[in-house]
Amino acid sequence: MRYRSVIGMVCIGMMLLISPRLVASSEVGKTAPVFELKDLDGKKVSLSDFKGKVILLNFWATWCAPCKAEMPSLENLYRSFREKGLVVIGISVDNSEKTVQSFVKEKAITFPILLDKGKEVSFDDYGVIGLPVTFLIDQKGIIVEKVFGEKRWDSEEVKMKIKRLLEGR
Amino acid sequence: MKRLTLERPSDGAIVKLRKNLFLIKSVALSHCRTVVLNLTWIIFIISGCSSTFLVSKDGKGYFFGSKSDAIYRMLCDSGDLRKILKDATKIKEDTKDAIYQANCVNRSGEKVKEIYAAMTPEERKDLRNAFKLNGYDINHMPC
Repeated sequence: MRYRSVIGMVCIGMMLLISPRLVASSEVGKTAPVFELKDLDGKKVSLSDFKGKVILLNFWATWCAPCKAEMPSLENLYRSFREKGLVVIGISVDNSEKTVQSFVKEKAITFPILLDKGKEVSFDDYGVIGLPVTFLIDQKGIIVEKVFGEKRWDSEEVKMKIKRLLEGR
Repeated sequence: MKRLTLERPSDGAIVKLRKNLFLIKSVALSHCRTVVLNLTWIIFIISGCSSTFLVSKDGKGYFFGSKSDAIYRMLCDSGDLRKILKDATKIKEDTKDAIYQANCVNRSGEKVKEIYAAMTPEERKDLRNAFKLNGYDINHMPC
């Protein structure tokens, strides 16, 4: 009986873990805060470098299981739409750069990964609490969606949404 | 046919038996601990994004604004939150009061979340630095 209730709680936990939470957020409709962070090669990258593009800004960490789980689908989405103008940026809040580097290499991630060790961008600018959190930013630099939790980024639903945004609709 | 006789075990055997019993007890305890840890993890996951950020000091971490006695002792009883808010010079006084109230008087995680969401990036930065100045770390949690 005790085991059943434990299993039940595990199942509830898993369901909540799997389902992304689309919560109406105060950031949606506002201009995405501009920041400058270093990438894994130490090169400074600014959000303004991607002005006029549709941007998917993903906050993540290597210790965050749902973040790691959604990475392959994020990479798939990026590969499908990068030629059409989609920019995917991953912002890692990890303390160790080496851990991020080996994860990126292992998973063959090709989109830019920036480091926010001090949490200046995640905590201060974007008010991120839990991970992963992804901000969808349109060509005008406005946050159009904030997605909490793990999501299947290469699903047809997401692809349609990105396609519409890329067409300026 | 051999006759079986019960002999008193040697002192060495008794010591070995006691050691084994201790080992069994430890394993049972560690299993309980694992179950408790798993449940805590599930609670963390469930409350993840609907909760606030994690504040930690000396290896202990709690959700800012949670109603646990442990965080009350850590931030309120110790006077740490008063010191942190005093050091956060860029946060408006009424916001500071609201943060203190929501953590130490009428404790509410929801209220803390509301206050945090309404803060400007400069105020959030100031709060983060003030925590750091007082030996605290701020961390995100998985959703």
